[in-house]
Amino acid sequence: MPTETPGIALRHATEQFGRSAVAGVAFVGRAFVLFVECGYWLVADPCWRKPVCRVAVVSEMIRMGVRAAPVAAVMALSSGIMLSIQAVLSLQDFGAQSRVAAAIAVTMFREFGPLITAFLIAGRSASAVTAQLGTMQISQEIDALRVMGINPIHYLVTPVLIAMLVMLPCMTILVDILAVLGGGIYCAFDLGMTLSSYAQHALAALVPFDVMQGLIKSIMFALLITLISATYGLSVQGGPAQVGAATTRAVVTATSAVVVTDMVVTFLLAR
Amino acid sequence: MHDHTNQPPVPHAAVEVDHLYAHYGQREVLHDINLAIGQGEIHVIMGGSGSGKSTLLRHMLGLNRPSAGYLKLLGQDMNNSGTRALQELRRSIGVLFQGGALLGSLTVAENVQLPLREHTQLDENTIQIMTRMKLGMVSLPGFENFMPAELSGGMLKRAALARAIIMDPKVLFCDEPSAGLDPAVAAGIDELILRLRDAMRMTIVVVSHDLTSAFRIADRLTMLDRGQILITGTPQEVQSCEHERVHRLLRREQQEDILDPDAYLKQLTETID
Repeated sequence: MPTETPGIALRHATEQFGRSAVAGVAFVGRAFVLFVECGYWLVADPCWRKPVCRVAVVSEMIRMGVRAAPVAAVMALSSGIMLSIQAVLSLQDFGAQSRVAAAIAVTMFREFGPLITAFLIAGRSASAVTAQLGTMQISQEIDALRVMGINPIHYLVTPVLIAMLVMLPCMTILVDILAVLGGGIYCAFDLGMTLSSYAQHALAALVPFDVMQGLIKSIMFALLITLISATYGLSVQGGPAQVGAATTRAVVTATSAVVVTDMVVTFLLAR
Repeated sequence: MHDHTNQPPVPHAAVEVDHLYAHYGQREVLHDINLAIGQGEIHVIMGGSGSGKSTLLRHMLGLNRPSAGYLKLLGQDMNNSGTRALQELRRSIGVLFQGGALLGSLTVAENVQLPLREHTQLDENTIQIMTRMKLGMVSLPGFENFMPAELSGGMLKRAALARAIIMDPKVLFCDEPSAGLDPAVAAGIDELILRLRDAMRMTIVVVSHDLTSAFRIADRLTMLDRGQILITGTPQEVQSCEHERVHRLLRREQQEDILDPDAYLKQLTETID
């Protein structure tokens, strides 16, 4: 009836909100349990039982690090040049073009390096992890591992986590350096600054804490991306359509979580 | 013939199910299941789609927890076992999943060797010999380096069977071993199951909706319908059963229940919730 329509709509909206809230809390709970379980397999269990398979770790490191390096290099150089253009335009109003190198170096090492790398890995590896685990879930491969007495977290997720924790900081350093180099190339072209002079300015502006700040962030991003993508992958039920949906949700959630975490960590470390 | 209420005790049962109930959300999918599967027998659990046979199998494997009742596998209570004890117990069983469930990133040999590498300290030479032996038992020699995606449906099931028996399990579970195969290949899988029982003296639990296959291999059968056991007995006892629903299932007749759309939607919503 027309008089009931707003009430019904409100009820449906409330129900939907409630369901989403419950699903969100359940997801965080599952991700936390996964975190604890990975911690157990990573730290406690190797002391007296079987360690994580090294071959699987190396294979994941190659997949998410080495194979992503060309794309990361292109993104880093482009970002460095882009940042350099904006810095030159902004600083020339104050006659402070000589500070461009310092601005680019500090900004890249503290903020954009970890962020760009995390976006790349979230888009590339998080989707791959979710799709792989989701496909294994619907084809009963995860069940097969369980009934063989093989823990799927130990066998499938922990190698990804180790590889991510190693490769994301390494990739971040690579992106930082290439982005600063990209900025240097533009400065040499636009301001006539030599690369050695640019490098001297950049190194003089950087302090160890800038590099540490970026690395702390990249380690946190690695943890988030792995847990989010694995939780979505292991939660897949149904058919191939659900794998696609879970993959999309994993990338969106991981990217959002990276941005929010970046903001919180920057706030805490900059005080 | 034995119905589920007066099934006589089976001495040294490999699998015991006692007053088992299971729910998906609010929906009851298994109702008061009582079953004892003796050691060394081939026991086929059959029934139509949605009868609860796959759910019962998942409970037997410890992948699902029952709402009530208990389940013993090789004398060990599945409900009250810790994760580690359950993992130890699972080394004594083998499972052939419906689609094979071979890991797509590993070769056939790597799939078959996986339980050995994870649970034993055998040297590489022994592992290779055992792999070749088991692949030979399932008539799949020479396929060690093939990827699962390169195998046909029947070969995939044979390779999965080789993985399931690599640890010489005491109990082998097979989920719809003949599903999706042509009759000749399905008959080949049945022959293989019979050969395995004779050669390795293992208990084999088969879940199937294929009547021909079920009556070909079973020592005893359990017929499930709507989450309840209709009958447990030898193939002859099941065929001579007077129960109307058993007759319908054996004649492959559809149930006469008319689906009520409202009730179905309500059931579906409850399941999703």
